[in-house]
Amino acid sequence: MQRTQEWGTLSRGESGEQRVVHPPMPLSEMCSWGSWDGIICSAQIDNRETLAGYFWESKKKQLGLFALSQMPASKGPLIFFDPAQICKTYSSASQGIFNQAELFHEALHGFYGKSDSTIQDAFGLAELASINITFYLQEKVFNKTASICGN
Amino acid sequence: MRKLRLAIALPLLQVGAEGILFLWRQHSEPTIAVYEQIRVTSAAVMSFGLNPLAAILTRFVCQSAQWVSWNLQAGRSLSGGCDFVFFTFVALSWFFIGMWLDRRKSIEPKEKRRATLGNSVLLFLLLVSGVFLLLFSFHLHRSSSAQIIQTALVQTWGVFLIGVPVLAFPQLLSETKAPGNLSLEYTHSRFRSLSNLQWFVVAGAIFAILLALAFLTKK
Repeated sequence: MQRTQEWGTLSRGESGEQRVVHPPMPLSEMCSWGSWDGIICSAQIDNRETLAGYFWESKKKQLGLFALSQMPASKGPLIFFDPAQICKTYSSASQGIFNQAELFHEALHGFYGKSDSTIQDAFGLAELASINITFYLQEKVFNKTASICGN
Repeated sequence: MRKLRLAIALPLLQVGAEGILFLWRQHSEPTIAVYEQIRVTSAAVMSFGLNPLAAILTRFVCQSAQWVSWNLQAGRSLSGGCDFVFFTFVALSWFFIGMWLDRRKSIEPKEKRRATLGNSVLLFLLLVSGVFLLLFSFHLHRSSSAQIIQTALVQTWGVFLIGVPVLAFPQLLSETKAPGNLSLEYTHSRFRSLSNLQWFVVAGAIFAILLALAFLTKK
């Protein structure tokens, strides 16, 4: 096995193809120390969980989690999506803008290092489910009607 | 009657309290969101408030270790080790607080203690940690009772960590015999005027005021 430039190791699959194998990513890696919200999250997050386990649990409990971004991004944007939740509607359609708005939402966490409640506060939104940030961006940034993707 | 040694009693009391919160955390559902759908238990939130410096130091140590472990492909959970590190930091921090309180009372009124560069650096570090904790507390969310208690506890820590060096620095400077000399002398008269019990009452009163303020500014 050989170390890659970023993370993971290179190994050969059954048919001999080269592939990168990643170790389970700790959930604590998603909060870094570059902002107050990042420190708060980092200081309280449970070290036991992995990112994959967290997505799995969220899906099981139907918490409506689409994506998770590193807050703030320490080496450029690091965003993970739940593949099953990615919008399949064409972006030309009003509903299809959901992916862009969601990506924009996650990028805000990475760029500014602000948590959902801080962003909701800044936008004057209610501190409810964070999807209202995505809806806000759909309306204000992309000039489309706020709507969840109709997969 | 044998005098109670706070350097032993306080760490035991705090480790015991943190132990109870640890068990409570193990048997409760996480309900408080810290980021996206990442949730923590009320017990974890209060445990952090009770010993914020120990918790932050533990996270710093553990996340550095986690980062190294993850990048070295070990992929092992370090959680058990982190709990041990946390309890060690809690015991150590309260041992030093207890030792300071014990020694404060044992110094004779006219006895002068040499304030070394080390003491000055220590006071400066306490001041910096206090300012950090106070700033940190203003960014904590206060939407649940546990978070309100946490905020008031962190602010109480901040007030004390700022207050102790702020009261000690002027005394230290006024007792300076030769300006520019690092070997300063100072007395503890101002601190000595308060008994340990009075210190705990003052701490409780400050916590109560901050708790009321945190509750009133709930968001």
